[in-house]
Amino acid sequence: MRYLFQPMTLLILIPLVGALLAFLIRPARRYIAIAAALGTGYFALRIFLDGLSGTGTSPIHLPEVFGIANRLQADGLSGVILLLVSGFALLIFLYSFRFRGGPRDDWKFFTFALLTYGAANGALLASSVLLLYFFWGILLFTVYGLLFYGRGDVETAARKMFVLNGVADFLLLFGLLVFIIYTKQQGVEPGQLAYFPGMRRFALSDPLAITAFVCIAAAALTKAGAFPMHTWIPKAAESAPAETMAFIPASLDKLLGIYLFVRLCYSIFEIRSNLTVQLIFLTIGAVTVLAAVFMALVQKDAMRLLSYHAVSQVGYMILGIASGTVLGIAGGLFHMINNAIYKSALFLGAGAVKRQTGESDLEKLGGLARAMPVTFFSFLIAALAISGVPPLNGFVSKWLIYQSFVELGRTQPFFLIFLIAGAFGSVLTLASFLKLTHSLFLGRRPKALEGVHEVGFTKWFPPLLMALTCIAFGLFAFRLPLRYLISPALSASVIVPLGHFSPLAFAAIMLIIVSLGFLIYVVGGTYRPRPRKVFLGAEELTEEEMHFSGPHFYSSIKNIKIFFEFYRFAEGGSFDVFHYIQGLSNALGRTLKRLVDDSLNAFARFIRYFLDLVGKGFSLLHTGGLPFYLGWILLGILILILLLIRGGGGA
Amino acid sequence: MEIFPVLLIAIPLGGAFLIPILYKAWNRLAEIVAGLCLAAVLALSIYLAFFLVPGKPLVYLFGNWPVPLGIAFTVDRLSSFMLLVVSILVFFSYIFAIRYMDHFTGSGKFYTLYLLMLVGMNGVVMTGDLFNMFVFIEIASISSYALVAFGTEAEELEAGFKYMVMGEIASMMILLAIAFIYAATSTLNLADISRSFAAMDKTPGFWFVLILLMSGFSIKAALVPFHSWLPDAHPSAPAPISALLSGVFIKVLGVYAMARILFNVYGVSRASYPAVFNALLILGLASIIIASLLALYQKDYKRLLAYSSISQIGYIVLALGIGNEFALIGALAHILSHSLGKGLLFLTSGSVVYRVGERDITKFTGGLGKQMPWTSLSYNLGALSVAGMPPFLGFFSKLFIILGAVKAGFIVPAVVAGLFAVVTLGYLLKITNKVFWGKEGIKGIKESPFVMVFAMVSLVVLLVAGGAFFFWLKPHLLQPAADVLLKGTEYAEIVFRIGAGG
Repeated sequence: MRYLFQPMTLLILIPLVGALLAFLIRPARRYIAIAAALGTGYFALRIFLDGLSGTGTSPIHLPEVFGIANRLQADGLSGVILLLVSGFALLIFLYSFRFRGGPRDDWKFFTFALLTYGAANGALLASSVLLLYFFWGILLFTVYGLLFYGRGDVETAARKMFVLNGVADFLLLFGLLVFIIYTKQQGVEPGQLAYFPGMRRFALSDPLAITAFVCIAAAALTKAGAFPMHTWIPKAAESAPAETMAFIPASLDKLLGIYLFVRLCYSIFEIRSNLTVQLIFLTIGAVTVLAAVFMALVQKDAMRLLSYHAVSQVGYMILGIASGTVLGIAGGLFHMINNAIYKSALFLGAGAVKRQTGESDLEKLGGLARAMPVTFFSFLIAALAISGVPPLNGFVSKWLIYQSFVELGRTQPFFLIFLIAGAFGSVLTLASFLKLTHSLFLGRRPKALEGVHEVGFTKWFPPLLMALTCIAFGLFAFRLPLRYLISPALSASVIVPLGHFSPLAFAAIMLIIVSLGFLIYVVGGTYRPRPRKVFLGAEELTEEEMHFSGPHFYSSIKNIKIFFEFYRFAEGGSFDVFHYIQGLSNALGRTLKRLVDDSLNAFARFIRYFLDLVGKGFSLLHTGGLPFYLGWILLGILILILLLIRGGGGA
Repeated sequence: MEIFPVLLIAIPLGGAFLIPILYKAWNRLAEIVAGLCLAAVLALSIYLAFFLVPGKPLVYLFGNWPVPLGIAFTVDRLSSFMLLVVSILVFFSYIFAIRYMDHFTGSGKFYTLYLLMLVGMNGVVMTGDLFNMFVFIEIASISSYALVAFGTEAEELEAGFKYMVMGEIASMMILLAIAFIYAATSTLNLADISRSFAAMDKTPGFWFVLILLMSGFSIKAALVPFHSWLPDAHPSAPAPISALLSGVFIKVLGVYAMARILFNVYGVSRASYPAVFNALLILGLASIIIASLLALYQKDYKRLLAYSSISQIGYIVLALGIGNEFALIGALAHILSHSLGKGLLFLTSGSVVYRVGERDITKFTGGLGKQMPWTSLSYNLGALSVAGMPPFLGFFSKLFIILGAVKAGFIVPAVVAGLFAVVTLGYLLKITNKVFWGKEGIKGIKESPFVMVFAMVSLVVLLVAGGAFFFWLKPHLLQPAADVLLKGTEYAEIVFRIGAGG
């Protein structure tokens, strides 16, 4: 009882009790969720501030299991991530809040989201691998339940998630058992996730250590949604609502997975001690960045497109953290925070569009900038941030990651390959968001969308706040987030980047350029469109026919009409680049889909057929006839005689 | 306290004889008498399970004849643990049956058989005499044959008949083994047999007797390949009886009896006779794997659960075959968690049948969860527990079994046990998907009556509480029971020390 009202216990209990209440008192579910998020957020903030001031919150000792001490304990890293989890939970609950009306079954969302929230807090506070596994297991089920809230084929996505994460959980279980054995051998407190003061990092030389590292890291990266364990995310994007996508794949999964990966690479093991392992994980990172972004390029549905980016961005975090330098890990962590911010904003923005128009098919959208100005602004900022346009936050974190490779490349030049892969992925990300922003907000508005207007406060405020944070974290990167969030998390006093970069000066230059451009735009009078009649093949085309639709930016070359439009748009040298991207992305995107998604699906189908076959086979032996039953029994007796008489019981 | 063992037999037996007389006067008297008896049995069992001093069993001597001469009841912590498991499920199944048996006629006969089955199970658990054990096995078995066929439709009668044939084959094997043992040792008292065995040559004949016993008990426990009767018999019985048969019956008559004789009478341990334990290991693994795969393929709600019972019994026997302390605690915890969990699942099947009248899950369109929320909730939580997901009791029992396997160095069984926990969840969620979840439900269905819901929810609460207080249960309930098995033939010495004096 004396532990019940400690901040750490409450961090887990408040959301769980909230979930119970939201389930039981359905009419008040939305208020309960907000209240629970506020309450939990307060304690998360307290733990974070305690960590910042260096006092630390005293750990809570739970019963020992098999000689492994279990504590709820927070250090700088978990403090920061706890705070972020609570922040996102609050904003997303706010986004899903409505005073009245709305879907009646959204209690499922609130109940399961709160359960997920509580379990995630538990996983972040767990001191021992056993406790971590316990909460990790709960998460599997709460997320499974959460994915059942939505429209359309919810089951497939939920099942896909369950299978992929279930496999990862088994790897985790195996890895942590090996880890316990390894730590016992090493004579340290067994099965503990190391904490920073007085930590001891193990080299990856012992086979046991490598096994534990690879298994646990695989589970962490699956949670984060790295390639090729990502396939449930695009599937979920088709059925789950924006709030679920923003909460789970965009923020919570990344926070948890990357948290565990940082723990592994930075506080338990020394990833730079084994070049092979390091290169494997760097390659996973690079492939994740590129493969997912190529697939994103050819998508025609806003949510699906965003979901592929949710995968692609994980690659950067893996690249940063697996680089093993303080700078890289700081960059990876910072990128995780940034990604959670802008990716949630993007999902919520796209969700707002979907809510107002009922559409997420890019072909049927467009020109909504004037109708939904606030959403457009937040979306644009977030899109620029994810593409790594300076001086926004996405640029700074990517820049830190690149710098770590520059540092490593001084001695071993092949590390620069990963820098190139990252930069290339960044370009493609920009390309894909050009298409998305254009398709949603720019261009001509289709007739069907005439009456569309801005969403309500609770729907535009969270994305706006996130977009403003993107700007703030970009402009004051070294003064705010890196100093108050990343440094305490890594117990690194100061993060010193190589070279010089002043976000404020850069912002000023950008501002001047943009204003100049705007001036030319206004003075030149090009802002007023001049309608021209168009003739093509002796036919007069209507304006509607000439409507420029965004989703085909990078679509197949076969579509000649669009290709023609495209040519006009890309006049002035950019065409070649687009041509190149278009062909390559198509080929690569499709091939990768074939190779990865389809083969995984085929594997799942194979297992199913196999089980069916085995079941059928055994069922044939169960005819219901007594002679058959007796046959089974004789078989059993025969087996026992063979085992016991031959073995003489003892031998 | 000395009189408790006798009361545990006398109360239900007395009730069983009173009911046929009383219920002619007023139908409901059958339920009232049965309820009072079961409440008394539950109270006595709870007292014994927690307050019996470990290492000091109750030895009740009938007619005050000292131990090797007369019949004795010996209740140690293992027996009292089993008594608790039995009486909890019997009590809640009874509560469920009060309304469920509305569908059937002849409630007086039902409760008579019900109490007789309880007498049989309690007797098996408490007796210290081999032939006495056989008699109680028969009492329990014969009442269960009648209960399986209680619906008296063609299908139920056929299942009941087949079950009887198989059950009697098992009983004959056990009886034959008892005859051999009596011929060799001239005694039937378990403790005395244990002493004689210790001095005996381990000839092939000695092991053949063990094979007879193990085969007989394996049929009773429905281990693969002795399992073939169970998938017919368990689904045919009325739901509360299915819950008892799968929940406690096969464990008491099969697993408990086998464990008692192997560990305490034969006194085998993994170190001394690995072949016996490997045999258990193989039976356990075969049951887990084959029954799980078969369950995946089932289309009948209760048949699926029946196959699942076989696979879960496999876990218990696997743990006995591993035979170290962790695994035995896991085995006992699994006996408790599976009896509560599978009992619960069978009760939900009863609740669905009560309202919908259909067991073929391909004929459901889903969405029953909206109309029967409590049943749906109970099913889903029960399924999670049976599959071994935290934070339910089922998680800890499987965890201990797997840890025991890892500790003893059996990596493959540990992996199989872990992997098939997921398969378990897979086939149990099949029912969730087909029956409970989804949009459109069957028109005009509402939740089952209050007492049925009460019984189901109580079991859910016990499963959650068991998980939450597992580390309290472990030292207070499971460890003392596991110690009885671990101490092996010391059982005989203790019984003689207490019982020989008269």
